Amino acid sequence: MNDKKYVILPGDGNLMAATAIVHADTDVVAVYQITPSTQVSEHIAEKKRTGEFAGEVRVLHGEIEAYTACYTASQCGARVAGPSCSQGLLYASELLHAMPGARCPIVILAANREVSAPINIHAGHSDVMPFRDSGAVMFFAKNAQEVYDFTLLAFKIGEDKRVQLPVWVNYDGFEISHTTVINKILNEQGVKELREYLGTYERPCSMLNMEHPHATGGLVLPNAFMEAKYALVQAMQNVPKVMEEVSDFYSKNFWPVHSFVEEYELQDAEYAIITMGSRFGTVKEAVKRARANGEKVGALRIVSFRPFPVAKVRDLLDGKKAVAVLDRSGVYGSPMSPLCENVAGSLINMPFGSPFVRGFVDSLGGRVLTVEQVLEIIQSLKHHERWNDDVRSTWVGVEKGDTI
Amino acid sequence: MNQKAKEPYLEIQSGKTPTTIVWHARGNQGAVGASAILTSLIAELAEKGEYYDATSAPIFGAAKEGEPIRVYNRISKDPIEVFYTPTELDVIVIVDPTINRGILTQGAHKNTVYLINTNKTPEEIARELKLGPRRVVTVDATGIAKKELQTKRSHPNTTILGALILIFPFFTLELMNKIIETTYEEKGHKVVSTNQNAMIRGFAEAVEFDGRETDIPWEENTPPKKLAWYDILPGASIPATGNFSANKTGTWRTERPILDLEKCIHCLSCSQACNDDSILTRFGTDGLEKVIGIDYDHCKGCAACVTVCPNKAIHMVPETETK
Repeated sequence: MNDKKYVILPGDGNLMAATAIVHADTDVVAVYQITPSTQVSEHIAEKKRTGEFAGEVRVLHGEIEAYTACYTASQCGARVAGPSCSQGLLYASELLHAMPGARCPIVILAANREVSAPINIHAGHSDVMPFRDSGAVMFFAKNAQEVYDFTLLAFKIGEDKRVQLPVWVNYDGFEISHTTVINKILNEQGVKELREYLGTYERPCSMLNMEHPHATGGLVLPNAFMEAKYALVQAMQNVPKVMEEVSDFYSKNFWPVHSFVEEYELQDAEYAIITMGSRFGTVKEAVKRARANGEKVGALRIVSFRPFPVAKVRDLLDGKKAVAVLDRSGVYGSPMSPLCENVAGSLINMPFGSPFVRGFVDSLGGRVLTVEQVLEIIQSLKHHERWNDDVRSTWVGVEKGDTI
Repeated sequence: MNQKAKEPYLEIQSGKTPTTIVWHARGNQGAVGASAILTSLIAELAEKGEYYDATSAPIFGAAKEGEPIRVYNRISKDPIEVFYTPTELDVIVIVDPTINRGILTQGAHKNTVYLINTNKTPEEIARELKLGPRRVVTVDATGIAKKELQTKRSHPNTTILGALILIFPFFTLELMNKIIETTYEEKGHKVVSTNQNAMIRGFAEAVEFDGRETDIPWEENTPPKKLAWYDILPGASIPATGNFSANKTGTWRTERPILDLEKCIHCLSCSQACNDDSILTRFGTDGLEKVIGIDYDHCKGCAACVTVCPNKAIHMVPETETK
């Protein structure tokens, strides 16, 4: 498109999240502030004061109350966003599991932070992973720009009649939420076009549809419970198609966006490193250096964790010798971390054999993953034959811990 | 071995096909307790050296008192390792014959024995409930329990256990007495002895009837239509609102409150105590709210109104006696 639809805005992940919420013409934002996602609500409250934001902002007495407000507003047919993270998500976990079942397309902005104890305010995916099988769609952003893009996509995907599910936009606490970068946002013309595309949310079974009101929260006994939950499986199966349509529109009219996976130097690679979120840049840097030394290695980023892009992962990793999965979520007594489980699960029963898979746990609680550490992991991939009898995840950079 | 039974009804079978029992009752009639006592009995037998295994599994809806419930027992000579709801039932115990008919014959085969709590004769009740040509044992457990236990509400469970000795000859009065003692020990000597008396009377007054050669009609149970996932609205929502009154909770009632308007002083205590808003009132010409009756479509028979009435204007009558 020739006419310019964007302006440049330097800002951090929280500002971009707030801007996207405003640009999507959201009706209700209900929050209880928690570091590192506090600034989302602050920015929205400020935009409400200046008149830029027309929706309702509610600061309540706790996350469970905030997400109850989101849940109820969505059931009445409002477009809803709920920013939170870490302990807040755990406190509201009951609601976060109820939202997919009740088919509430709420956009949950999670500035991922580790969970207590010991208490820690820095980045880690341990807060979102308990909800990975709740039935919600999940994006993991790599920078503030993607927080903006995914939040806009999230409303359209979630509210689509074929989907009707909550969508999580996950972004690493501090590393994305508080790091100012130079971003593109839609200008007045762009926002107008976007709002036209989003339309108003029309809930199929709304409590506040005055002509055909619906009651919700009914009891479903064993005779129909599995059928009621199977509807979520069907909705989840529709997501890739809807996601493709929506990101095609976005890429065509505004700027390109990755919505399933992002690959780097993967085509001719023998080894691959897989990760999610802000550490993808570090991995790319390491791959670049390894490539300079003649190593045949590539990188893959999972963008939509739910639904997991199984077909794409199978396709891209077919024929690779070994893959390392870098996960920002600790596991204890389990053979694999959540991301590693999903990658390994996607690679089973391949007709010509599956690559070796090894899980790594890194960067918990804001710990820095260095390029050197990734290079070391790349080196270890060459000795994958030795992994035969050991499937444990290795913790990266733990002082006097396991060696790679 | 007891002397009363003409022929032993059931022997405990091997583990592959355990003997199965279902108790059809309403919440708070003691069916879960009776079923658990049955399991304790088997445990007692197991301790004596003969290896027996038993399970007792209740199935509830969301509500409690008065709602139809089912409890399933499995009894076997081999270890029981399955937990699914049995589909073939050897004994069907109907603690409350007012429960919807269709479900009562579910799972019955040609040798199924019915044990029914009723004051009618076995043939009469079998024809009324359309149980088909089957063996039927009846006992007026509600009547006996009311007399023996002297409680405000009827708890027919131990009386029915007495009648069950007729069906399972390896249960003896002695064994049953012992189990009732250990079960109710904490509640005191009086509770133990009254329950034991009720149990003995249940055994002595049970009436047998072999209906296998008769033409008693059989009501085929039509299973409800199965919902496909796309039949369910998004979020399992209900396409109507404000319709709770359509749920006729009055069918859950085992005892019915009878209001004597001549004694009523219109204090409205019952109206406030009622959990289901089932005390009907109207404003009189003097501008005062007056009690005019009871909404039997929704009254669950909890007897809260009886408890609060200062003038004893309401009393409970068993539902079976009001028809």
